[in-house]
Amino acid sequence: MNESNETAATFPRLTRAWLLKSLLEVVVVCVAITTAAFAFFNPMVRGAITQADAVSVRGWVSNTRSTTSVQLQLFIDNRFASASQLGSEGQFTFSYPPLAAGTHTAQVYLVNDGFGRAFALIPIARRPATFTVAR
Amino acid sequence: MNLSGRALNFAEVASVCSSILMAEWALAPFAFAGEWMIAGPPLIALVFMIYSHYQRHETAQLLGFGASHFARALRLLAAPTFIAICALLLLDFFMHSPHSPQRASTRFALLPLWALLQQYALLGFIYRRLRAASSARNAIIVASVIFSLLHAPNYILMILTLVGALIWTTVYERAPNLFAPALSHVLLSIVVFVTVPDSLLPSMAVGYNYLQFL
Repeated sequence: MNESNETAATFPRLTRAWLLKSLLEVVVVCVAITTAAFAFFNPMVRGAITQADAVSVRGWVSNTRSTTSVQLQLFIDNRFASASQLGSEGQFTFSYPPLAAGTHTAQVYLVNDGFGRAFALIPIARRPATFTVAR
Repeated sequence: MNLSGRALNFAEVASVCSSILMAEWALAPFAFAGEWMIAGPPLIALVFMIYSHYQRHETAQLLGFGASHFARALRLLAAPTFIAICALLLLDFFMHSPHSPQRASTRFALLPLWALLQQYALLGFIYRRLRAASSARNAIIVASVIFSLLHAPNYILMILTLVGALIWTTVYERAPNLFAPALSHVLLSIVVFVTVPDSLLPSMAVGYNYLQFL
C-alpha cells in the first residue's frame, strides 16, 4: 500500500484541526440539543388553572408559537381524566363526575405534536392545582 | 499541544469514529426536530478527513479513487464476495422468512454512493491511519472491529460488517482501490436485503434508531 508524505508542519496543523473539530462538534451538539429542547418542550406555552373543584377544572392557555388549535389533556391525581380541543388561546373548562372526598391535584397539559411519532405533554401551570373535596 | 505521528493517527481515527457514534447515539433521539441534526458531526468529520489527506499529500488516486488496482482488487474480491452471496442465498433457502416493509423502503438508488462513502471511511481513512501506525495484520483486525462496532447494536449487521470489513481491508492492503470494494459492498447489501429474514435482521438501522426494532 502506498504511504503518504508528511512534512514537519503536518503534525501541528493536524493537531490543531483535530482540536478545532472537537470544539465544533461540541457547538453542533449544543445547538442541536437546544433546538430540540425548544421544539419539544415549547417554552412559549402560557396558562393557568383558575378554578378546580369536585366536578370541574377551569383556566386559560396561550401558545404563541402556534396559530392552529391546541389539544389539552386534564390529569387528576396524575391520571388522565379528559381531553379537549381549543383555539390557539382561550378559556377551557373540563367537567367530570364528582370526585371522591379528600385532597386531589389537577394539572392541564398542552399536547405538543409535529415530531413524527413523538408527542410532548407540556404543563400549562408551573404547579398542579391542589384542592380538597369535602364529604 | 502537538501529538506524535503514531498518536495522531490513532487520535484521527478515534475522532472520526466519535463523530459517527455521536450522530448514531447522541443526536438520533433528537431527529424529530430536524434530520439535519444528525448530519452535523459526520459532515465535520468528512471535512476533517479531507483536510488530513491534504496535509499528508494523499491524492484521490492514492486513496483508491481511480482506475489503478481496480482490476486486481476486483479479482481478489470476486471469490469471497461470491462465497458470501452463496452463503446468504443458502440461508434464505433454508429459512425463507418474509421481509419487512421498512427494509424494502431502503433507498436502493443511493446505495452505490453510500457504499463508496463507507468504503472511503473504512479503507481510505480509518484503515490507512491504523496501517501507518501498526502492522497490516493489526490494522486489518482493528479497522474491521471498529467498522463492526459502528453498526451496534444491530448484532446481525455487526457480524456481517465484521466479515465484510475483514475481506475489504485485506484486499485493500494488496490492491488499494475503493470502487471494487464498494461494488462488493453494494452486491452484498442487496443480497442481505433480499435474503436475511426479518427475524434476524428487522432493520438496517444502527445506533439509537435500531432500539425501536428490539
